Amino acid sequence: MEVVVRVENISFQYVNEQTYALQHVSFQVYKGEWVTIVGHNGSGKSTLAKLLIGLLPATSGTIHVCGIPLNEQTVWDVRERLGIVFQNPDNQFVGTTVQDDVAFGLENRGVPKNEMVKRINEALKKVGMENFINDEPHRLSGGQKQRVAIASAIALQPNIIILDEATSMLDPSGKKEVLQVMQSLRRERDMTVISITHDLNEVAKADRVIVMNKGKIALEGTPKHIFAHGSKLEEMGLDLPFPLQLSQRLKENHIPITTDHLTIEGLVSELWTLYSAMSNTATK
Amino acid sequence: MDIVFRDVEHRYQMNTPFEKRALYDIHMDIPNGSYVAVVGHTGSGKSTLLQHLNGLLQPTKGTIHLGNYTITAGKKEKHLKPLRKKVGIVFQFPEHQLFEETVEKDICFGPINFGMNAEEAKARVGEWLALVGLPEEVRHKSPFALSGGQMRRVAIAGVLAMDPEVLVLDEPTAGLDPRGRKEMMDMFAKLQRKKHMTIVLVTHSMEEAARYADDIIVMHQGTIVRRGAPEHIFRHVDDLISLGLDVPEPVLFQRAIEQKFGVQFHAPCLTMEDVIKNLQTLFTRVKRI
Repeated sequence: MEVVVRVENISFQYVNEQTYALQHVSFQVYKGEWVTIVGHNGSGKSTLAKLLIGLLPATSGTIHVCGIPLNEQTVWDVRERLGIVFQNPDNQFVGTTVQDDVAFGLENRGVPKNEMVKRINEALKKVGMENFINDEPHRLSGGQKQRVAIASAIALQPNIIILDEATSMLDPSGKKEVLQVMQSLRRERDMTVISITHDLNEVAKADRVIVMNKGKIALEGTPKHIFAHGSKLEEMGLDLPFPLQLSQRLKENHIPITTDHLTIEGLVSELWTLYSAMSNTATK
Repeated sequence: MDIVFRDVEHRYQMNTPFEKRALYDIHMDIPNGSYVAVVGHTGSGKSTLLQHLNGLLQPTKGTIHLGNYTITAGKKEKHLKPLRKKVGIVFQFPEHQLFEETVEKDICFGPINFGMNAEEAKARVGEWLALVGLPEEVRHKSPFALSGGQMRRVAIAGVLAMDPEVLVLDEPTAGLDPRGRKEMMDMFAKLQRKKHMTIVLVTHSMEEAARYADDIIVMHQGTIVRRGAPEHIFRHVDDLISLGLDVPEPVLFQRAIEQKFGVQFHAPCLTMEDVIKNLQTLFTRVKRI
C-alpha cells in the first residue's frame, strides 16, 4: 500500500514550556485510509495536526507528505496535497459569499478563472451546497459552514484531508452531514482522511485509530484492537463505546456474552441467539 | 427565584422586511431550585429563549416574570442591571470572552462592575476558583496560558462571582473531551446542591439531559413541543428522532431489544444499570419456562 504521510520521530516543544507537547512520534498513513486520532484535551493531537500542515515547525524529526519532505521550502507544495478543516466553523471564513470563500485558496495559487469557476462549482456540488453559492457564510448553519470549509479544502484537490475536531461544535444532524460528505469523497476520489475527534461512534467506524497520551502515541490499531484495552483507555480520560461497556457489564452480571461488541446491532443479535438457545433448552 | 413565561413571542427585526418569528406561544414555569434542560435542533429557538432569561432580549408579545421582575412586551425596561446579576449566563465557548491579563482580574471584572469593592473581590477569588475546581496557582497566570478546559472554568468562575440565583448554561461541554465533560457536568450538579441554584441547561447531548436534569423542555421551530421528566420524554423515541434529536444510547439499545425480542420494558432505560436490570429479568424468565 502507498504511504501518503510518513511521520518519523517527531518532537515538538512550545516556546516557554518546560515539557514537550510531542515526543518521538512516528506513524504512517496509507492512501485511502480513514485514520482517527484520539486523546484527551492537551494530549498533543492538535499540535500534531499543525505540524502536519506546516503551521508549526517540528523541533526534531521529519514528516513526508506524498513523498515530499516537509520544510520551509516545500510547505506550499505540501499544502497542495493536504487540506484541513478546523473545529470552529466561524473562524475559517474569509469571503463575503460562499463562492468567494471557496475561491480564496484557488486565487492564492493563481488558478486561471475558467478553471476556478469549474472547481468551485464542482466542490460545492460535492458537499451539497451548490444552491448557496451567493449566500453569506455567517448566515449558514454550523453543518453548512463546515461543508463549505470542506469545499474550500477539496477545491484545491488535495490527496489528504485533516479534520481537526471538525464536527465537535455541530449538532447531531450537522455531524452526520459532514461525515457523510467525507465518506463519499473518500470513495469517489480515493481521498485519505485523518480525523482528530472525541466522537466514539466515528472512531468505531475508522480503519485505524491512533491514541495519543501526554504527547506520545499510546496505542495504535483497528478500533476493535484499541477498545479491547478497556480500562487503560479510561485511565487516559477516554470513553468506551456504549455497546462495548454494556457487553462487559453483562458478562459480569452472568449473561454469557462472548465478544466485546462495538455496535448495538451486534450485541442485540448475540443476545437474541443466546436467548433463543436458552428458551429451546428450557422447553425441551 | 421563580421563572414564569406567559404567551411569550419574539420577533427579530420587527416591522422590517427581514422580520422573523423566532419564538411563539411560550408558556413555561421554572420553579426556584430546579434543574431544567432545554433541548432542540439547531434553529429551534433555544438561544433566543435563553436570552430572555436576563432581559438581553425582551419579548415582542407576552410577559415574563423573573422573581420580582416583570418584563412585558412593549414596555421599555430600564432597570435590568440587578436582574443580570441574579441570572448568570454562561454562553457557548465562554473562554472566548476572557480578556484580562490575569485570571484574578478576569474573575473580578464582573463583581466589581456590579459594585463590589476591589479588595473584597480579590479576597474572594480563592473561593470562586475552588467552586470551579481550579488550583490557587492559576490566580496570577494569564488566562490565555491555560488549557481550553481550564480557560472555560475561569470564565464560569467569572459568572459565579456575581453570586447568581439562576445559572444558564449554553452548551457548556461543547468541545471538551469525555472526562472534561463529565467533570464539568458534575461540577454544575454540585453547585446546584450546594448553592441551591436554579440551573437551565441548553444542550445537544441527550445523555446529559437525561442524566442531570429533573425536567426536559423540547423546542421545535420556535415553540415548546414537549415537557416532562426524562422518564416521560424518552418514552417516545420515534417522536424525538422525528424532531431531529438524538436519543441516549441506553434508550436506543432498549428499542433494538424490544423490537428483536418482541417485548416491552415497562419504563425507558436511561442508564446502563436500567438496561442490565431489564435484561436480567428477561433472561431469568426464560430459564424458568
